[in-house]
Amino acid sequence: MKHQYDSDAATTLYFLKEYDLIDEFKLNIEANHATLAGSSFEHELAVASAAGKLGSVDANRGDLLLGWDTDQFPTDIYSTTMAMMIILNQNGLAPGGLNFDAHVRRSSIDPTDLFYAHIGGMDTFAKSLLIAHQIIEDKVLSKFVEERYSSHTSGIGAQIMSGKVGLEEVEKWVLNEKNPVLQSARQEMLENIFNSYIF
Amino acid sequence: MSKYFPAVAKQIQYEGKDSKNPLAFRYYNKNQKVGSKTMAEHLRFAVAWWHTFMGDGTDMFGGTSFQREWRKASNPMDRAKKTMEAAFEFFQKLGVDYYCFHDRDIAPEGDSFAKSCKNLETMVEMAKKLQKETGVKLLWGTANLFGNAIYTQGAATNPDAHIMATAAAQVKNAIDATKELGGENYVFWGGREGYETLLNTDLKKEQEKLARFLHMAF
Repeated sequence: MKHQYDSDAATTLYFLKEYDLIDEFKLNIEANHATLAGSSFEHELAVASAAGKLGSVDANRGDLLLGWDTDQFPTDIYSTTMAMMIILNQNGLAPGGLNFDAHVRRSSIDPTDLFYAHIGGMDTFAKSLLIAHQIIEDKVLSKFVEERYSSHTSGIGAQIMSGKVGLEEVEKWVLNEKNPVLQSARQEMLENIFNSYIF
Repeated sequence: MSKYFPAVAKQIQYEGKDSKNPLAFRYYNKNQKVGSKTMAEHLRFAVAWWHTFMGDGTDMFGGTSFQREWRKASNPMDRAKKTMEAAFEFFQKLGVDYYCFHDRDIAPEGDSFAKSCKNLETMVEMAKKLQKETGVKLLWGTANLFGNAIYTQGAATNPDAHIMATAAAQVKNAIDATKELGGENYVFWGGREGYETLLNTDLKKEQEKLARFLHMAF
């Protein structure tokens, strides 16, 4: 369908809340449906997980150059490692799992190709599990993220988040302060760290 | 059992990252602990029935390219039974714990709704027996509410109440089948729940219908 009522995670979560279904369902996120919806696999997983609603995963991959559901087996270690970080950070998928909603190419005609395809998908996710587990254990990324938002743990940041101050109090606080000091978001450094766990 | 996959003589083994054997795992070591859980417990892999056993290589420019031994019987129920034998041989040889299906993957549609239900019941019985023999489990089941031409304008959101009711009855049977097989989840995919043009669509009504449909299901 051109406009699907469950086109992405945020749309589906809104629908479930609007119609009082949110307590009965979780989301089954498919990698290729994420890319078809103009988003990324990890974004869809993160949106579902942040809502406490990541239930299961259709583990496959699409092709950004093709506008249809190619349902290929997952082999992209970057994407699957990001997925495993989100899954581990929410303490797993059970009772859900990783379902290979994927098929071999039209030219892969032998039954043995079905084994190669699944072995590739399983090994990619297994390697990703090992990498993601180590990144999380070492807290290299989580420490940085925690630090990045640390201005909310005390002072005006904590007061804003706890609802203790409104626009008037905030304006008063700003007028008494100097200009804010910019901090680097360090994306390239973090990408290098992420890579260092992969290769 | 080596009927449909003779080229894979035994279960795929973990051989470590330096293995050059294309029929071995290099990283997936089922019982290896990662943190507090084994790899199998973390990953909970499932094989998708529709792609792996029903897929025939068809794409938008050409028909069947796979000649699967298990799809050769001319009688649809014989074909379904052979497909199920092949599926469980595959699960065991791959060493995977779970599978997933749509109702219409494991059992063919009959010429009436009642016949389709009967076919599903027969195949669920066979699956139950094979699950018991092999220890393979069902991760989730679902109803195929997109393949049949009656669903071209939606299943739950179809403007025709008769079609919406048919879809709901199909879901009832698919949920029963999933429960009978000890399925750990049940999935809904609204592949036809949407619209092509507002010129013929009451968007609000369709969303209400979809919500009502899901409320009926639990």
